[in-house]
Amino acid sequence: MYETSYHRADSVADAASKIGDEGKYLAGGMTLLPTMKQRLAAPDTLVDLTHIGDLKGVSVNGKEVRIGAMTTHAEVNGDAALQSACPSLAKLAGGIGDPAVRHRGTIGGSIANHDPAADYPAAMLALNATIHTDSREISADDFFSGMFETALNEGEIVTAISFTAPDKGAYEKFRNPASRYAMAGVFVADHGGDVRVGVSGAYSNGASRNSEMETALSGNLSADALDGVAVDAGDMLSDIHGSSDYRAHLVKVMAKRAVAAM
Amino acid sequence: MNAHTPLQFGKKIGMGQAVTRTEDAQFITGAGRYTDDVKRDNALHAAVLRSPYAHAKFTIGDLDVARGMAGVHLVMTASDIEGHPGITCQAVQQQIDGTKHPVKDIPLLCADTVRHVGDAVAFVVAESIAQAQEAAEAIEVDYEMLDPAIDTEGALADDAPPVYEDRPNNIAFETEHGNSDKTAEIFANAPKVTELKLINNRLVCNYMEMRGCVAEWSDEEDRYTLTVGSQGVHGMRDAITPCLKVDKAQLRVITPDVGGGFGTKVFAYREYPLALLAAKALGRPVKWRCDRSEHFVADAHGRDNVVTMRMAMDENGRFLALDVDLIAAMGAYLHQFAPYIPTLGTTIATGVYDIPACRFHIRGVYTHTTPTDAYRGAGRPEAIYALERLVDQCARDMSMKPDEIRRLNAIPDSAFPYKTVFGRTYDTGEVTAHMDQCMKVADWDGFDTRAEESRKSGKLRGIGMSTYIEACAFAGSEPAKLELKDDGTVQLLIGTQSNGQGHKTAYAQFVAEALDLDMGSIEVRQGDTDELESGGGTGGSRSIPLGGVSVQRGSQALAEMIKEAAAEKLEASVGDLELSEGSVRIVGTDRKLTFADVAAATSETLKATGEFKQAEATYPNGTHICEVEVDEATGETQVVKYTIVDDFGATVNPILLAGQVHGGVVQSIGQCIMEETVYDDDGQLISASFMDYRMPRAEDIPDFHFETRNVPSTTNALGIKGAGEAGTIGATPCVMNAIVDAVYRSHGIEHVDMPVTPQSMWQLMSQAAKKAA
Ligand SMILES: Cc1cc2nc3c(=O)[nH]c(=O)nc-3n(C[C@H](O)[C@H](O)[C@H](O)COP(=O)(O)OP(=O)(O)OC[C@H]3O[C@@H](n4cnc5c(N)ncnc54)[C@H](O)[C@@H]3O)c2cc1C
Repeated sequence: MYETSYHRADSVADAASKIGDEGKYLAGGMTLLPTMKQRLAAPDTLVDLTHIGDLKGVSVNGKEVRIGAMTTHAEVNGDAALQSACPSLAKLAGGIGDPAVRHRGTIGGSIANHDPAADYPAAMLALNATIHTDSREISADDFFSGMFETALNEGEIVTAISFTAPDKGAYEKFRNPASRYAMAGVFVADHGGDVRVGVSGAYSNGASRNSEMETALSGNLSADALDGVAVDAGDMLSDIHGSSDYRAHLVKVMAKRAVAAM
Repeated sequence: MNAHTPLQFGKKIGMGQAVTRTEDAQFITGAGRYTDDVKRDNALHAAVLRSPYAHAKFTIGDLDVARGMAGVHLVMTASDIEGHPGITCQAVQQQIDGTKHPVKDIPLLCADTVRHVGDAVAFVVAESIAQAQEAAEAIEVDYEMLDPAIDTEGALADDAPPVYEDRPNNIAFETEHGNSDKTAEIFANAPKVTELKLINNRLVCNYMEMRGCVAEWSDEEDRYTLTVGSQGVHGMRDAITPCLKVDKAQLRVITPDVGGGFGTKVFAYREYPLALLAAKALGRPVKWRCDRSEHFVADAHGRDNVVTMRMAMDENGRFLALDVDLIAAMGAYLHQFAPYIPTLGTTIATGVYDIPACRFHIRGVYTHTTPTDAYRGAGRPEAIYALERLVDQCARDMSMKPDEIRRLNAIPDSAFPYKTVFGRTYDTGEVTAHMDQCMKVADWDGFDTRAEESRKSGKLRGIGMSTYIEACAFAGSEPAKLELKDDGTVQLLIGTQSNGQGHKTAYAQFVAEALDLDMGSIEVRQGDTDELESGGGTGGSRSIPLGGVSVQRGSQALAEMIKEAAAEKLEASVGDLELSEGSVRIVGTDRKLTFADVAAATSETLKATGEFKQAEATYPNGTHICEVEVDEATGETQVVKYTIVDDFGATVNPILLAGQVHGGVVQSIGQCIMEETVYDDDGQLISASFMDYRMPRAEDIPDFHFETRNVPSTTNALGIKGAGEAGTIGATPCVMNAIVDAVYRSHGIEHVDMPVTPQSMWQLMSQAAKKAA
């Protein structure tokens, strides 16, 4: 690890004022710290968001859900109100990494990082979520702009995400055999007959929606409705664990399993 | 055992008893003391500058920048240590033409050519690890990239880039074993021949504890001290002293707790002599710690064979002769025991079968990859994997059942002791009996019902077996030294080295039984060349078969000495004395002396040595049966049922034994369906971290049914056959035979190589489906 200085922020404004040009926000540190240890990242300042109370917690008001950026995966997984309003998202959080990761890693860190294999981004797209920052609101559709890329400006802080709970939802993932991140993670959400499908792990431009599947499922929410949908391997990632063809195949298998589970 | 466990003496905790591990409380609560826990106040820290290329010539430019950086004490390159030999291969083989092959040693630092990614270019010592790393990065190295030879079989091609100019076709050595002429003759007239070609995939060891060392020099003592994780301090010392150009008396090696070795920690690695030379030059201790990323490229890898086998049979499926052609990747240098590893396979190449003729041809091949060496089982898992896969293929070709062809060809009970074509003598075994027992407990006959159940959830189910034999505890001995301490406790010194197996528990059981002493009063010490002048280390499942018997004998000798000393004091004859719960007592009376009293009464400390010498290896054997489910939609394979019936001769501690077997099987499941070491054509290791190298986890592993059906060894004094590697040896073919069974039933697929990843299985099934369409 390269030398760095550490600042514990006590408010969002304090954090934003300390970040500078070469600083990085530290959330759970589950992604950022290993990268620093491998000397692949060298921020001159770490601004720790962990102690900003405003950024934490889940609130559910009828179908309206809001989750603070610094809420850990374990908290999302264990929140009773969320479990009844949107069980699929609570379950997704419980399937991220291992217990240690779930007790440190945060939803804000996950979406700000936009690892193409991360689970949350698929859910944000399918849930038509809004990403709240210290300066604006961004729709999930506009937020995930490319692999490891988001609409966030330099120094902009994700403060929360919010969405209206769908009538039904389900997430199925095929895990990368080694890292166990998503290699094909498909979130299907039914918003009153209007179905949205978010996909993680497979597309080369990061989390994406699959409009062919959405069309096929809107009005006919059954696994069979996906039989005729061809998933284009041309847009898919390819690595030693999964060629683009294999990923395209898995996206369909996971989508069918998700629909069957709804 | 912990503070709340009542004291238990003698037979209650002696041989065969399920004593819980005395080590565990310490390990589980973080109180273990590993190499990295060894701190020295004024220690400096080292980092290695490693080659980013598989094959390149290089020159080192300016060093002044690095040398001038904050905290930097030393920047060492090859020219600074000229005249210090590299780490030399200790296992030179006799080749077919009678010559000994030349050896390419591992240079401590490369002088002008790097031969694998991770090869060492410079050694930097600074006040902190970060400073050492930063300085290493500041060294200017000008690399001229050259074509590498990466693929094991491809490296033999005439146009493959040479790893060494003087080794045509990259052949490091070529040997042949068995009876070639007879084999050729039988094949010429054989009614049936089955052939199979397989890859035995390269593995990265991935012990929990990374390597590391603390190197020290003392002017007063005029010698070095090395604290290092090892599998035996004496072998480590002897491999390192030539690099330092000192004699054995000038290097003390200490090994504290070790978190896994699996063969790979037997070896001396270049960082150890480099750290020692630096410590002497700087007059301060030098600490080096390997990180996980370095481990992937710098520690010896395991396996990596391409094997082509043929079995000659008569019309009924009776085996007549076996022909094995093995290509074994050596990597860029000949590692310490590397050429010996494939050779070890020949000790059991014909397995549990009565095969009168066998030729075993081996070519060791240099490639621009990390060197390979012993990894749990060392050559024997490779040999049995190949054979047991071939036997299943023979069965399919002959339309026989797997157990039927095994039954037909197994060495009959009456033929033991059985001499193999390689001149080994299997002392005892009942091969079909453990197979029958295993089939019974695994409910082999009920498979079809389970397969139908699996089918309902889209899973293809397969069942497979392996009947293995292996050779271990090779000829030799491991003396045990026992001493009665003043406080009445007993100390054992022995030259093996626990890497987590539980030696302290197992050895203490022998002592406890012979002396009727409680475990808490027995101290087992290993890992210091100052305490013990020689030792054979741990490897080849030898510690308990050889060391255990020595400990028992030494304990019995000490028991006699204690009685003799007490007899004088108690004015009784030795024959009237018995040892009981830490005291010596006149039988039938309450007149007794505690061991502490005895120690106080003797003018000289009571010391005894036990040594059991074994002339032949021992031969554990057994049957594994497992069932797998392949998800037809995703290609993912899961091992869902696992049954083991082993013949380990005699059981010392069923808990330790099950631990060894479970661990071995898990490593094999890893090799079969997870662990894939991927080099690209440029020789970059693609699977260079846990993000890409899949290790088995608890959720991947089914419950095991494990039982023993022991037939005591007649070679070993206590009937013990050894069990440290058997799990790994039996399991790989078993799992793969089950996988082939699953997809042969569903798709007619016969050729499946390790590792069966979800993707590779999906591809196999897709291709088969396309062919069928
Ligand atoms: C072993 C392991 C397994 C894992 N498995 C999975 C898995 O299966 N699925 C999965 O989805 N993820 C997985 N992860 C990733 C995990 O979910 C991480 O926690 C997550 O990606 C990052 O969250 P974090 O809170 O740790 O963020 P950090 O690591 O602290 O930060 C990540 C990045 O986001 C930035 N950032 C953080 N918070 C904010 C904010 N509020 N506003 C703006 N920028 C911010 C940081 O500056 C940094 O660049 C795994 C991680 C590990 C170590």
